[in-house]
Amino acid sequence: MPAARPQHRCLLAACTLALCGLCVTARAQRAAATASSSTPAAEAPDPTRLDVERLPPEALEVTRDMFSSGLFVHGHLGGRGFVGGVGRLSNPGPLARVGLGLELLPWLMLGAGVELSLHETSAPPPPSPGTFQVVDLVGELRLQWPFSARAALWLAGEAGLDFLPGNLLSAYGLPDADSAGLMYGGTLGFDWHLLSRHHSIGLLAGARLYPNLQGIDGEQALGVHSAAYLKYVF
Amino acid sequence: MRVVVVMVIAVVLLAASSGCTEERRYIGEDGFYQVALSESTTAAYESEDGALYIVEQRVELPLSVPPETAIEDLRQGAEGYMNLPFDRLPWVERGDLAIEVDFTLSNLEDAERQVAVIVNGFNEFDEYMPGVTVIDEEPTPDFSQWERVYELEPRQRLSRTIREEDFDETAVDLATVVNGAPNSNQVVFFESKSSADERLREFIPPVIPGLAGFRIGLRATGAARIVLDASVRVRDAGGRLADEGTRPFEVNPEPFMPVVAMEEE
Repeated sequence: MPAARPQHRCLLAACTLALCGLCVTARAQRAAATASSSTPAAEAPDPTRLDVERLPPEALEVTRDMFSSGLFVHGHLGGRGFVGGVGRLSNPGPLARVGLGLELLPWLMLGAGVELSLHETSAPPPPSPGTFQVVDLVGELRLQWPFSARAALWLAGEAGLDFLPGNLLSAYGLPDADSAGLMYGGTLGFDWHLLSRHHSIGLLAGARLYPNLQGIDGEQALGVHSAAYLKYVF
Repeated sequence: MRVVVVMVIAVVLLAASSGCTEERRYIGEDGFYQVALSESTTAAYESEDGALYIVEQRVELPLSVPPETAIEDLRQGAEGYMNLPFDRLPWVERGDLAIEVDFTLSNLEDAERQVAVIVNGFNEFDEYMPGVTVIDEEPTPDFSQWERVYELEPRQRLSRTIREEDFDETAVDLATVVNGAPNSNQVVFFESKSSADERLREFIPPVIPGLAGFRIGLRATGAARIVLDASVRVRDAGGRLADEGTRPFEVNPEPFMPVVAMEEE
């Protein structure tokens, strides 16, 4: 490789010196800037933009107006047992419900749903222990009291039809259980809205009278239910 | 949207679980049948060496009435088989109706008692009618199509189940004995599963009628106060049960007395 010429060497040395000078200058400027930021200066709000990250979280107040209202669906999972009547022949069992409703006013709702509960018999044989299903078609009128932005209590008056597939209970002497019957009652619930426009969860408990499930001696059957639910408002 | 899909699936599952299952129906006017031995029960057979007390309750399944043309079709269908023991194919075939009986035996005496629960079936053509054979001057009953002997303690109450498989065997046995099996007692004896017995295969007809009903009862060798309560559940796998409140299909089976093989002297 040919040796560099003397004038080229001088040019390289000059460039190196210039770069070193630039680095020293930049470091000095950064040190000055750090020294000046330790004493923050008051900054006026910028009126031209909404910089939400600088706002405190409590500035955004949650109100019920932010949640969806109108048509809703809900699903329940819980349990049901009977007191009196068919309750003397059966055990409590799991309960499921799906339903559809409409929020007419913040305090008034209409709804309908289908319920299914499964029960095992606990009676002297024959027949040997078996299971039966109670299917309810329920209509309800619900009054709601929203006592905070996210919490509400509600009370529903319910009425509908119940029927039991099969005729197991007739073998225990409950002939009316074979045919569909009217039932009615009420449910009390607690609703907690999630921080979402559409979802809320809740707990409920209630009771209904089932005249077609009365006992052999005419004792009335009261169905007592409780459940947890998930509600979705469109 | 996902929530809606889940809801729809739940509704479908609800509907499926409640409506799409085979119908299981408990039959009987009050939901159960009752038969009892009492002090006033007269002996079915009595001799100096012993007596037999038998009481039975007839249980007829509410069969649906076949359409007008169906019987003729069944008659023509029988022509396709050789040596069927009936002149037409059955309206109810084996497997169409599955029967299960739960029963409770109650001994009302303050003493031990021995009693047999007996079941004999009938189909559209034949009804099994076991008799009594006198062996060494002692009355010996023929085997019923299903029977169990129970020793009951004083005031004891016990519950048992006659399963669907037992009634299926009963249907096969009945078709086998009327088809010429040489020893009916061997066929119907409850521990000989004749439907799987190679020696009896030639007597099992190619078409086996299902049971149209049966008689359930009690058999004892002495007077006793014993009550049998039974519930009868029918699973309608073939769609042969009549709708409730409608007129059922009437069957008139011929009594079939067992063919008993006697030892040669």
